[in-house]
Formats: sequence, structure tokens, C-alpha cells
Amino acid sequence: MSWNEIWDLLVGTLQTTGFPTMTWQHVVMWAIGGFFLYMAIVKDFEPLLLLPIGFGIFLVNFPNTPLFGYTEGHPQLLQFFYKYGILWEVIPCLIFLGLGAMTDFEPMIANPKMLLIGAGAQLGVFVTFTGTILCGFSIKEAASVGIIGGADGPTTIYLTAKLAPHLLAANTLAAYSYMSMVPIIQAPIMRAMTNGKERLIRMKVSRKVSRTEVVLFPLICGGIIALLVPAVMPLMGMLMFGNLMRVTGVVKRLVNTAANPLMDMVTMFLGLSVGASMLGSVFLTYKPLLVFALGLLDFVVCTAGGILTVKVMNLICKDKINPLIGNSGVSALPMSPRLSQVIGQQYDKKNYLLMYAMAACLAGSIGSPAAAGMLLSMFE
Amino acid sequence: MKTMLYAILFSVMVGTALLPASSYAFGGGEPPWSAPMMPGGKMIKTEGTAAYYEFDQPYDAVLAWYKEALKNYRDPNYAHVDWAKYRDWKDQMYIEDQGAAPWHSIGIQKGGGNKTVVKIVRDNFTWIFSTLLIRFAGVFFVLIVLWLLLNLNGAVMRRYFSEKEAKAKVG
Repeated sequence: MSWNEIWDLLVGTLQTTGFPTMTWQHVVMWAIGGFFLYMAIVKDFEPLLLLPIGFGIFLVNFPNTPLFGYTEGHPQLLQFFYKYGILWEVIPCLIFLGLGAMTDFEPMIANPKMLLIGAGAQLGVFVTFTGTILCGFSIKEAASVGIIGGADGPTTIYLTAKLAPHLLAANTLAAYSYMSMVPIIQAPIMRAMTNGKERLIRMKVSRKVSRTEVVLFPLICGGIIALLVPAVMPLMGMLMFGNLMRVTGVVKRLVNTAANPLMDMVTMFLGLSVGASMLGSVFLTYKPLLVFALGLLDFVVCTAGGILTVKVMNLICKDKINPLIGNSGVSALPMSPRLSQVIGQQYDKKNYLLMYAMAACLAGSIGSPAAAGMLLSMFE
Repeated sequence: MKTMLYAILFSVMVGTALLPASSYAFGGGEPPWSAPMMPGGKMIKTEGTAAYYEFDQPYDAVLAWYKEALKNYRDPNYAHVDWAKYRDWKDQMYIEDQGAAPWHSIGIQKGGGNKTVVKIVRDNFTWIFSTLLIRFAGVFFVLIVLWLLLNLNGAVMRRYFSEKEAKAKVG
């Protein structure tokens, strides 16, 4: 073997490694991935989501790794999860199936007027939509950013995958981050927007709900959504199917699978796919930063919208509602209702707001897909 | 103290978010606000956020020109996503921008024979706020319908069960 051959061999081998094509964006993305892993592992901050996202970011941000591209027209491993799981909108719908199997809608059926709080709390979605357009985003991008305030992760993913997939990572991270920061973001707004008298309001005891009503609910709700906002039926249909399985009690094995192993699997693939979509060359622009700022504004206005709706309802309704449950109109379950309960008890130890706040939160989980449907209808 | 800190942090973030917005929204600009302009037209009037141009061409020729001009007006991230949305209305072909251009719509009016008027509208708050209001009201509508049906269902169920209980007591 001549020296030239040895040299060519060494150069050729070196060129197959990642070193020659490495860029500064890769290094920045390692730091971002590392930060998410640190938050998940050391700080225990949303580990179910941040761990797979952080590792997904880490995996794809090396040059030449056959993970997020195509080989001879076939999607590589993480591209496969991303394409068929997220872009084809399978994962968000499966999450809704699991959520339906875990959710008890009884508090909302007993207090259907709480649905209005769920609608009022979508205010931020539309306000931010406007603000995002003014910031120079396209209408589709604005719609996908606006939905962050609904604090509904799967709906955010569903809408973003349909309208602006390049913002998927930023929108998903913003939605889940703000959801986990509910006590920090919502508590000051709740205190600022309510007075001492309002915080002491005790609400009327909820009526009992019959089993038939509970079984009929997924059919009624699914039917209405299908007629009025059919664009979000993949999400709502799965939510209602999961719930129907749960409330009938005749398919316990399926309920257990939907609520546990299936949820765990889709959460894993969701996190990895979202992380993998954060390629340095795509993610490192000014837009994700704006998405985070606008998402926060969105969440704040949604919280304020829920509280304001309660105040307006109190002007009309005979039975007064404690405005401390207004924050729960965003569908951050169970953080928002828990916060309503905690703050309520700081002012009156015998005031139990949890079930009413749960009702508002469940209304939010219907309101947020309804808002997404309204936004989607612009592009149909 | 904490509330103050949150308020300051929030103001900074909102300010950062709205900084580009303010320049965009109030920057003004001249008609036709970057919208494609078919050669040979003359501006006949301006009206708030709209400008009208007249062409000595029939409707079909003007529409064909605009379709060609907007052929490549697509999302750079997704070649299949068309940013110009066409709506064929009775009196005009309405082309709406779904991208982020300063113009909002191009209306090519029908029925003018050999003369065609094109109305170009720039992005404006009237459109943005109307969209906001209508869609927000739409969410309320959906949930109010659900509320009414749940109330009805609840009332029927309560009546049914109270009758059943009464019958059981008599029995």
C-alpha cells in the first residue's frame, strides 16, 4: 500500500465522520438539548416530555446521522415517527383518546354553565392571533401560535402540524412549558383581577348526575362538534370515544390500555419526534423566540378571559360563581383547578372550589379544540 | 414585590413581542402595498386602506394575468401551500393573502366589459378585529349549544328518574 493510498483512505474515512460538516448550529442545539435534559433529570420539570424532546434534539443535531432525513425515498427512523405520527396527526388524536379514557366529565355535566368559562378563556387565542399577524407571521403561522394559550398540548400539535409544521417544536415547547408554569403565571393574574369579596364566594352544591347522562354526554358533545366544527373531529372524536369506553364500564381492558400503555407509547414518540424536528438550521431563527413571547401573552390573556367571563356571568346569573375558578377555563389539567383550590383556601379554608374549577377546565378542553376548529375553518 | 416582578417581566416580553408589530402596523406604505400590479392600469381612487385601479382589459385577461403573477406566491417551507386564496364571488374574484404580505386582498371586479376595476386592500385592523370577533363568538356559539343540550338532557333525565322513584314508592 502506497502513502497516497493510505492518505486517501484516511481522508475518505474522515469525510464519512461528522467533523467536516459540523456547524455552530449543531453546537448550540446540543446546548439546548442538554438544557432540556438537565431540566428533566435534575429539576424534575415535565420529565415525561422534556426527556424525550431533549434527547431527540441531541440525536438529530449531528451531521450525517441517518435519523431525520430520507434514504432512497424512505423516511429514516425519527422522520418516520414525525411524518406518520405528527404530520399525519395520529399522535395528537391518540393522546386525546387516552385523555378521554382518563377524564371524568361529571363535574361539567352537573354544571353545564361552566362551558361558557371554557369559551371565554379562548380570548387569548384570538388576541394573540391578531398580535402574531402584526408581528409579520403568515396567517397560518399566526393561527398555530394563537392556540398555545388554550394550554392544550395535543390541540396545539394538531393545529400546528396542519398549518405551520416548521413551528411545531417552538409551539409545542411553549404550550407545555406555560402549562407547567401555571402557578407562576396565573396566580398573580387571579389575585390582581379579583377582590376580597369575590374570592369568598361559595358556590351552590352541584347536583348528582345520572349514569345515563354521563353515557349520553360523549354522543351529544361529539355530535355537536361534528356538526358545528367538523375540522376538529379527529381530536374530539377520539376524546369522546375514550370517554364513552370509560363511562360505560364494559371495556375496562381497553380503557386501561388507552389510558396507560398507549399514552406512554405516544408520549415517547411525540417527545422524540418534536425534539427531532428541532434541527439547528430550522430552529435557530427569531421566530421561536417570538413564539415564546407571544405564547406567554396568549396564556395571560386566556387566563384573564376566563376570569372576566365569570365576572360577566355573575352580573347575569342568580347563583354566583367564584371568579377564582376562571383561570381554569384554559385546559391545563390538573394544574389550573388545583391552583383555584389552593388560592381559594388561602382566603376561606372551608371553600372547596376544586370540582367547579375542574368543570371549567373540562369546558376548556372542549373550548380549545372548538377554537382550533374556528381557526382551521379559515383555510378550508 | 413578586407581583411587581411579574408585571415588569410581562411588560418586557409583551413589549418585545409588539415592537416589530408597531412598526409593521403603523408603517403605512404606498399603494399597491407590494401587491402585483398589472401593467397599463391607472389609479382611479383611494379609499382608507384601499386603492382602485382601472385596466382597459376584460375581466378574463386581468384574472389570467393575476393568476400567472401569483403562481409562485407560495409558502417557502412547503411548496404545495398556496398563499393566495381565490374566492369566486358574484361581483368579483376575491384573492386573499394568507402569507405575510402588506396587502390583504385583490378584488377583480366582474361585469365591466372591456374595462376592469381592481381593488387592492392593505392589511388593516378592521379585517383583523372582525376575524377575531367572529371566530371568538363562534367558540361561544358552539359551547352555548352544548350547554343548552346538556341542560335539556339533564332536565329530561331528572324528570324521568323522579317519576321512576315516585312509581317505586307507590309500588
